[in-house]
Amino acid sequence: MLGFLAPLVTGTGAALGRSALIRAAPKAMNSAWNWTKSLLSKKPTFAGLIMASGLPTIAATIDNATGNRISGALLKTPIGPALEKFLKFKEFSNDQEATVVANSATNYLVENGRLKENAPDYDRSKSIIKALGHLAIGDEFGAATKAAELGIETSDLVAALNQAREENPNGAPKDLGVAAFQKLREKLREKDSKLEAAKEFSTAAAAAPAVAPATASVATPDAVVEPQVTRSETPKSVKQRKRLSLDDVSNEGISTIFEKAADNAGFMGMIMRGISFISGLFGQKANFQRWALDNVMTKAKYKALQAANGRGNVVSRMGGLEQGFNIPEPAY
Amino acid sequence: MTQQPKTILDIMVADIFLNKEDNSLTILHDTAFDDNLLLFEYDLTSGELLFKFETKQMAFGIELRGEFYEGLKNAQTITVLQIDMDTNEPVLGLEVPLVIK
Repeated sequence: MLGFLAPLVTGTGAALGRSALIRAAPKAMNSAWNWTKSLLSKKPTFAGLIMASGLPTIAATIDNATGNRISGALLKTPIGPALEKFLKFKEFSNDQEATVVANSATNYLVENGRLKENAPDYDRSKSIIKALGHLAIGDEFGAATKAAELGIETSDLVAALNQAREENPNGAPKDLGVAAFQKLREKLREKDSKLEAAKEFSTAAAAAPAVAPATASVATPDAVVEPQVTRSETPKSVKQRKRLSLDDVSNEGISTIFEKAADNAGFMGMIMRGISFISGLFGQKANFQRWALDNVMTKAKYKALQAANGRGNVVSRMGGLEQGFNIPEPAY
Repeated sequence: MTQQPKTILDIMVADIFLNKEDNSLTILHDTAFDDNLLLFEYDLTSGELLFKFETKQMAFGIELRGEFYEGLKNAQTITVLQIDMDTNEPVLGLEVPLVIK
């Protein structure tokens, strides 16, 4: 039943070249859809789909993400655990595979009338499919996903983006995305260096004599930490922490990701969606609260609005200028 | 005679702006709110935008349709900036979540 996934998810899938993937993916998607449609005719739940398959299909995932075009039942259960399972397939590891998956899915949906090119939400749906295609192989939102895996809080992500925005108020989303990513990476390095220091300390402690000579402990400053020196176990937190790195995610890749993701939702909207999505993957619900903008951000937001207005790209409901808001004056 | 509940536009100068470059939404207003603004709720059917404060809620006071309908439908937050009308400078900024009804 799951043969359609074999070229993509098995160990041999990782070894396939681009051309093989291009050949395999449409066939895989067709099989996926046929199988999914046969299940949907019985009106299963999303949970039922997962139980029947042992893992979610790409098709079922896309169905959810494109506004539940096939089955109303699919949205009734969280998508998080399903996508989490997807992410476990480490064989999905490069951009080409993600693009093949996303393009195949989009083409199939369009050809079968599931996604209409003139539909108002076409671009949005397409973006979501692209995101899912990349996400399925651990690439789209890669930095943010990894940040979550690393225990970087979503507030860190927002803080990094705000900081990037402060430093470059008129920056394009892709530039801000790169800057924010770099800040997250710095944060990770900080955490790593602290972790490393703790590890070195505990290693040294483990290697040290369990009971130091009394004279030595009195004669050296190390005597201050004597109670810890006699400890032979590595601290639990050090042993349990994951050692992952964002260094292998290129700035260029992140730039593209942020540029694409920002196309429809606006910068903050994209971030909010990204966080919601990522939180969902890890079984958490992102509860957003309003937040106050600091002085720099407040002014930056206003200037950006003025600048866009100066370019003729802002509409207002009440007439703006007539209301007394002098936003038609671009602030360059 | 029943009195209509006051709207935001009844008590202050305010306007909503859609930036078509990034589809972001901004509300400018001239007077400080007397309560903590926590959330926006947009009713797709009526076109009404509700300001949800800590202890009360108020409608914006004008239907939002057309381009605003699309913008609000897809937005996650609205930026709210209080403007000093004398200096034309923002004095307070908030990023407020938006939910769709």
